[in-house]
Amino acid sequence: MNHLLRELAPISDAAWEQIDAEARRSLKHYLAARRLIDFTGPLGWEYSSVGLGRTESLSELSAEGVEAAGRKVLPIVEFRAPFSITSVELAEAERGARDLDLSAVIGASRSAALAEDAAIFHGYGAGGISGIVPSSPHEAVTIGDDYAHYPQHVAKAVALLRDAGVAGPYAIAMGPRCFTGVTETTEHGGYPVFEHLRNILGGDVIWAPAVDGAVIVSQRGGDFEMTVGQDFSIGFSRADADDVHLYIEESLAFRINTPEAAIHLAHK
Amino acid sequence: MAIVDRVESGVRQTASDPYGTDIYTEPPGDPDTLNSLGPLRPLAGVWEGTKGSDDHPVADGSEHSVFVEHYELQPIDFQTNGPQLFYGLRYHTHIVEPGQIVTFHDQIGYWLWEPAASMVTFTLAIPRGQVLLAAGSVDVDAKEFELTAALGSEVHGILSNPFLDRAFRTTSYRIHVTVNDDGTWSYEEEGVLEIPGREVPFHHVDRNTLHKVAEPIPNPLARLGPGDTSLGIGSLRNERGRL
Repeated sequence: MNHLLRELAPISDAAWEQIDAEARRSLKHYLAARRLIDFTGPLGWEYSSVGLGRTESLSELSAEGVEAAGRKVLPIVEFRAPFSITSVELAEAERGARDLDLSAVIGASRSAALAEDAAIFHGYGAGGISGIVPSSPHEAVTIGDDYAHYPQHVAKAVALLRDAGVAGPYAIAMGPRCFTGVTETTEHGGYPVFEHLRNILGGDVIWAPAVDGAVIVSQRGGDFEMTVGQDFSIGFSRADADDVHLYIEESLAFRINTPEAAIHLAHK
Repeated sequence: MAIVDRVESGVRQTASDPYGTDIYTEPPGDPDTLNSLGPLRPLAGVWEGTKGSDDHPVADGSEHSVFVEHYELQPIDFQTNGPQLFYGLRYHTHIVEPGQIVTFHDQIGYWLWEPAASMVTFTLAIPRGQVLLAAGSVDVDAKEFELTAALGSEVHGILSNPFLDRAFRTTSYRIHVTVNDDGTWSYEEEGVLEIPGREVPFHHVDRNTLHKVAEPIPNPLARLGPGDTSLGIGSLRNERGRL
């Protein structure tokens, strides 16, 4: 048994199967950054930091005539989203029910996915995660609600990346407002804006509910690297008379090697 | 073993195959490949052999060379083609002449064990523009076995680039493997070559005995371990964006 304590939960195999399947489906639905950046792992729950290959001098000497330096590391951050399911509902799975009320699983999966994406795109200072948007040296391209003009905005942003020596293909992660507007809009002549953006980028247009505005990211690889200790897993906290309390958990670090390989498109 | 072709539900089936007519349903596999490699298990790991022997063709006949070989065979996650289940080793062998750095021979591919068919399949690719697929029936605990491929076969065949096909046409291939009691393993491989201007085919023969220098690294699924209960999300980079 590992630290997730799943074996201690009063949950049948049939119910676990439904819970895991719903969490897996929901996480894949909401996660966006993993579609755009390099991924290393899973390296295990005990994995605690990513070496940066750099040192900093330690001014205080450990002994006469000996210099000291400390290795720089990125700490692994743990995200945990708790949720509860009623014991009555879980018991139905043993009777063959395939339609358990798993709205709490969906909600926790959404929260966990958005926490990961928000940290990667917009940063999470408390966890030592510099986000793609705050780290980009490029001035944000301003966007509005005239979605027919998005091809011009995206072309301008791609040109800025190219000028900065960042090769494509590129992909764009769009917040809900932008994504909905773009998918509903056609240009003069009826050509879908969505398809026009894909042609300009040479890569995908991704729905990214944690993104404010939109972010264009080079897909050449090597620029943004996510390291996962424990990938998303469901663990058991406790059970009381009515509910079983569970959580979705992961541990990760995020490293930016080339801040200029992304550009933000921000609303006015 | 007699092979009788028949058509059932539109799927060609042979009496010798264990797959049935459902060509889509995948069987469960053992996540720990090292437990399920059958006769290939003794080959897993990193090996070296310093007394390799090679007889190859030269303009005025044949030449004998001695070679030093570094042979790495690492387990991969089980693989399926519908009902067909393989456990395998990905290999890379690199060969130099004694005291040399320059590559004398380089070769990559897979050794595959198919328990249901009691069959070993071997793939070979070399950076001189040649590939082949050899196979043979092998008992699960065999200490000695042989695999073959033949030019023109639609299944276990040999393909060469146009120059090789014209100047050094490989018409058949055979590799004989022996697992030795002292923990080493040996191979003898033979390629039969048709060479313009020669009346009889040339038998290109390589032999070596390999000594283990490192244990294999468990396959990715096995490294997760039985206690791993992650949801297996991983990278989504190869999944398309959604409308």
